[in-house]
Amino acid sequence: MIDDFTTEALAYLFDELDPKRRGEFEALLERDSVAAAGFKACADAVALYALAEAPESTLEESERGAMIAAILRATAARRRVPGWRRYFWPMVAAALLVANVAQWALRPGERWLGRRDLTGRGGQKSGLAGLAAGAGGTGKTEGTTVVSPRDPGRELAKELSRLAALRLEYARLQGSRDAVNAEYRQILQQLATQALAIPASGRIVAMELVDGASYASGDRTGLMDLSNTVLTKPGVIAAGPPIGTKPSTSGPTNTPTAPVANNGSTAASGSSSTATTTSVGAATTGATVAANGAVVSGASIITQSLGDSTPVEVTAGAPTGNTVTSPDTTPASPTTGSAGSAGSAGSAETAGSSGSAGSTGSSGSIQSTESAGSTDTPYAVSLFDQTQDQGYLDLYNLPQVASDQSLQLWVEPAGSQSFQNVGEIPAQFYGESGGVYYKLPAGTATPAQIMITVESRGATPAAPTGAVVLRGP
Amino acid sequence: MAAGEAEALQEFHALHAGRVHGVVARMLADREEVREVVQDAFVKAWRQARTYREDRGEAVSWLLFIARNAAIDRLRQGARRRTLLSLLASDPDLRESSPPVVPGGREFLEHLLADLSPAQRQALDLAFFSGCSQAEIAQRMQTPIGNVKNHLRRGLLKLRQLTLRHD
Repeated sequence: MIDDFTTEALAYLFDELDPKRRGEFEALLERDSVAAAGFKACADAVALYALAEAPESTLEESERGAMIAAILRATAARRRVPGWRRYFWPMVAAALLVANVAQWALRPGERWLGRRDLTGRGGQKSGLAGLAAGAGGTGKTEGTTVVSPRDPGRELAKELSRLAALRLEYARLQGSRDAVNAEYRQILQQLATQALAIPASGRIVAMELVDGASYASGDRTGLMDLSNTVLTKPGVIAAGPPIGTKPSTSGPTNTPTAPVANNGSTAASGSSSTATTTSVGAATTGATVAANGAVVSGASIITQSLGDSTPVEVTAGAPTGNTVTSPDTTPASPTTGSAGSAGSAGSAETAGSSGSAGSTGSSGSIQSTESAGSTDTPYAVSLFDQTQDQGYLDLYNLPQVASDQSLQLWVEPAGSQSFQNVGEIPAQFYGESGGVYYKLPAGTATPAQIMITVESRGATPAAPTGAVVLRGP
Repeated sequence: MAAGEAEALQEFHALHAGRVHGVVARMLADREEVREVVQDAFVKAWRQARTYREDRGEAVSWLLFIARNAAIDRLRQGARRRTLLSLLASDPDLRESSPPVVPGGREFLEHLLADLSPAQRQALDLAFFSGCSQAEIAQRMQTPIGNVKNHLRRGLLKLRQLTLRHD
């Protein structure tokens, strides 16, 4: 889809689309904010390339002056049109319309437009009036028109004046709305850019911020769709900063180096999918998500660091990024913001904390925590799009493994008792952070558990045998 | 500009005329023709100012595409394009691509170009400055059209990534 979109966007920018395709593409931009954002990025990137390739000309002052004079001359006709002239013809049209309506709204005897004489020769009424008169049997009515004591011209002028005022007010309100919307979008984009640099929940918060429409409507489509907007290569989210380095606050600085094996296609833009969000990791406590987005309690998140042979259940206390908790689960750490504050995007924390209000189709809530990512312990944030059978895994602090070993991703579909191998985590993420997409065969049940284990490199194990690095719902 | 203020037009011109002129000069040989195209681009931008959408690109990008498309129209009208294409086809040096030198003092832009592969630059160059379709680019670069799409897409992704970092 990205491929086609880029090709189409370039053709649109280069004015090479026929009117039909152009219209379709514009309609796509109108209805799909992700496509619009992608288009903007594409346009600005090409323009920047052109500016980089072609050095700025140094125009002589005289040349510049002559050019601006010519431009001003060419645009003079429009610039001289006073503001009221723009409304002249619409007002004339409106006046005629109102006059027409008024003519039929008034009683026949009060017709004023043209003060038509309804009588024909010999005192006969013409047309419908004549027929009506004939039916009445009088036939002697004089063809005089009674003029209403009201002054319709004055009323019309009043209506027109009211119409003009309304038009002006409408234009003013529309301008204000556009300005506020633009400012709002700009603030959201800035917040999203800053949020991207926050470990753990940053990308999710950014997605929620950017995809205001999905967020407001209460679905999680945005999480899948907008992870696409931070894609730097198909199937790979930018690798995170090295462990122990402080993330930059000026925006994403990560560089991907290779696509993930078994990656799925990028999330379908505008799909009506439901994504389930949870976190998997050492510091999560009580966070559980069952299939189909239903939040349940009871299962524990466990993890095991390299070298340990026994899974260790994590104790409460240290929070992670976005964790989904059941309604009756008391968060182990203080949460910021509150579920249900949909629409609030005043800060990354607030948006992150409220982002999932009712959006998983359950009553779970996302907690945004300040200490997310502050530990070197591996953890992950997981999303799964049930309609597309694809998932997105944001991985943090993965361990470094020996050169003859690899990290394998496994899922246990709901209702299954065994793990299925999904693929190998790209080596670029070993000892690092990063995000991957994975695609399950169509019809596979939603994963009930996700696990990452250390396995021998090159082998395709049928079942997990090595040490467990991460495990969780 | 959308409100019809002449001062805004003058300011817009002062800001971007040099850049647009540089891009158009890269595409057209005749200096007078370059001046006309730049002038027409500003007039068109003025007339279409109401249709400009901030969410579809920066103002300078919008203006550049107006100018670029006008310049391509000029190229297509005349024999220059035929000359250019035959030149590209016959000159092995051009076919191998020789990236233009970017003047100093523009570290970011230099960095931007340096990060693109020669093939990506050549594909973008032929698409933007010469108005070649993807099929024509494939023919000029003697490579399958799928590769051309890849070069364009990867080039754009890289540019986007670099600009994000720069921001």
